Amino acid sequence: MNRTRLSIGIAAVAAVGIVLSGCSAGGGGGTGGGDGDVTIGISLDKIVAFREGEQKYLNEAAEKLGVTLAYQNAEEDAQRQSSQIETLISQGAQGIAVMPFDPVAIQADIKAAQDAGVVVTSFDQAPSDLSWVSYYVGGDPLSDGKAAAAEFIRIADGKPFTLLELQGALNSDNGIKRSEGLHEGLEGADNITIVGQVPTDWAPEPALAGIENALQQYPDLNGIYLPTDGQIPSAYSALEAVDRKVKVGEEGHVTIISIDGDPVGCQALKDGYVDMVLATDVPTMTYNVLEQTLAGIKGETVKESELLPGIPVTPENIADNEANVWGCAG
Amino acid sequence: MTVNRLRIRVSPQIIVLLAVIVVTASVFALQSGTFLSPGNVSNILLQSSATAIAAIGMTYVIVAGWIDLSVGSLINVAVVVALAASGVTSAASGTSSVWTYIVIFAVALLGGLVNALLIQFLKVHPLLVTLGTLTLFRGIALHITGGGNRAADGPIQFLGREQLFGIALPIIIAVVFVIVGDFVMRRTTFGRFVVAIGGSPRSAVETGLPINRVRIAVFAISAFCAAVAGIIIVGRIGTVQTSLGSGYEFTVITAVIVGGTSIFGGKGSVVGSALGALLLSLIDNGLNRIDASIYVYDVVRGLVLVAAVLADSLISGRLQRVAAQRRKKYLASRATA
Repeated sequence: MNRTRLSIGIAAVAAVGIVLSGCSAGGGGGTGGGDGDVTIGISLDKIVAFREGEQKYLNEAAEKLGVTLAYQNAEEDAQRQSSQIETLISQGAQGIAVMPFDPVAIQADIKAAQDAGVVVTSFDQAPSDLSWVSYYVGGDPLSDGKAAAAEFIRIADGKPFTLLELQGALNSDNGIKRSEGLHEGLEGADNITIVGQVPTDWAPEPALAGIENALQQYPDLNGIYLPTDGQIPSAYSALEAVDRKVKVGEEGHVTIISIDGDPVGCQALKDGYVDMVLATDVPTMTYNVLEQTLAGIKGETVKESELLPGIPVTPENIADNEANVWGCAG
Repeated sequence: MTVNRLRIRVSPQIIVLLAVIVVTASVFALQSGTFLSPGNVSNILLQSSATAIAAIGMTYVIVAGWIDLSVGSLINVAVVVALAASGVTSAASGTSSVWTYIVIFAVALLGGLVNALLIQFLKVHPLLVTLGTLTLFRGIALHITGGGNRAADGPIQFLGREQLFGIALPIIIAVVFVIVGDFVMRRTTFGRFVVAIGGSPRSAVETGLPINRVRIAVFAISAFCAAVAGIIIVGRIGTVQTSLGSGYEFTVITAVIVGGTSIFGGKGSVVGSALGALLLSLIDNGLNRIDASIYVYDVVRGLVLVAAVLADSLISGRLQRVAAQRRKKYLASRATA
């Protein structure tokens, strides 16, 4: 086949793809609510299951508030996020709610947007300094870590307790503070020993390897701290391999506490294998960030930044708390 | 190197790599008494098996003088498409079937074919083509899932979780792949073509080697190996996330290069690549075992890998100098004869 013709053909396919992507409905390309006079850019750091849930609630909030959203996905690239914020500014977004991939590098982009008269808020992942943005709302990873520690202490009940900690990501505020919170909360609990800390970068594969290694080294491991519900399947797999995937309250059960409240976490609570999930209040977080961004755009008073502690849900109270676990909403 | 009268040929790179593995394992064993226990050794082999299989496929590509950056994305799209075709629509519903395997291999091989044909017809370097397909394949997968997780229940877990004669199936599969892959590379005409094309592309053209057919075969092998690796990974974890395969190509390429394959082509070892994968898993396992600070993982990985490459470079260089001196002496003696 003639190389030139093939190259032209591929370029044509790419051009059609670009046109069709602009015509596609939903899927995060942008959503409108009400009269759409106000456009708020949503700059996401990446697309994962948790972001999918946040997107759903952002769209609902946008509908209620009557604003149009324009999504960008930085695909875990700070440079790309910077370019995308520039694009949002040039597209006329009056406000940008940013989830920074790099909590330090984002400062320059925030300043550039503010210099252009754009209101900048942040949610879920905090920039290094909250004073850079008009408003921030997110989970409270430090508080979640401490809540998890308190539950491990309660379950251990003074007896010797070996605990494996999986760490989210070293370059993530949530990852660092969920770990810090656990350690701070366990201070003074001399009966609890953290036998291993495994960096996972939020991925399930290193989580699986870490748990397998810990179970091999400590066959009587008492507990596992997961920084995200996405690693629950890895915990299941490792425990199943050593016949220790046992429900809460049954002989041989390994205490598992996780954070997020996504569909996997919801199901894990209903199935009774996980002792507690600290469910991030995604509906409130997403509504509040849009509401405050809109307030800033209208020149109204913007609230102080706020942290929303995770909602502790257990197999015992999941039936009453299902509405508070965003992953149970389907 | 000759051992007794059997003339067992072991390349210096393999010996150096084995030495690095032994030294690394020894260091960890000194700090963790149970590091070399049968259970932990089994763990290390299990955890390295998927990467070893993918690395075997990548070895063919790199020995031939090419590169495939799309393996991670290929795993992702193949698994996502197959699960979607099996009716899996979320993290909590749907299950795979035997057809899931067939679709995974079909999609992976199609991806490999796309890579090979784009390289052939566009006459663009494989680095650029597979950089593009890396993004394309991942984008397709993301479009299908919308960023959500997918349950990986049912038959797809078989290869990753079952045992045969008390040995985890992934380990057995990896060993089979090493044996077959090494045999094909070293003892078949196809393997010699791969080495020849990578060793001297110009000579390969001039001697009329079937470069296009070899390219298709090599990228198909890489895709097939990636598919098997992906099935094992997904089967072991039991879920598919958007991060599946993300950055995996660099892990695989690292295993291949550490294993002694030349990034410039023409020289490589399937066994070396498998040992490279083993070394990577051994490092992570060891760091887990000794409860190393989470902030030193990348430092230690980097140091061990640099040491492995440096040792190989020093010893290979010395052996080449020794061989050159012997050749010189031989030629000199012939000249005076």
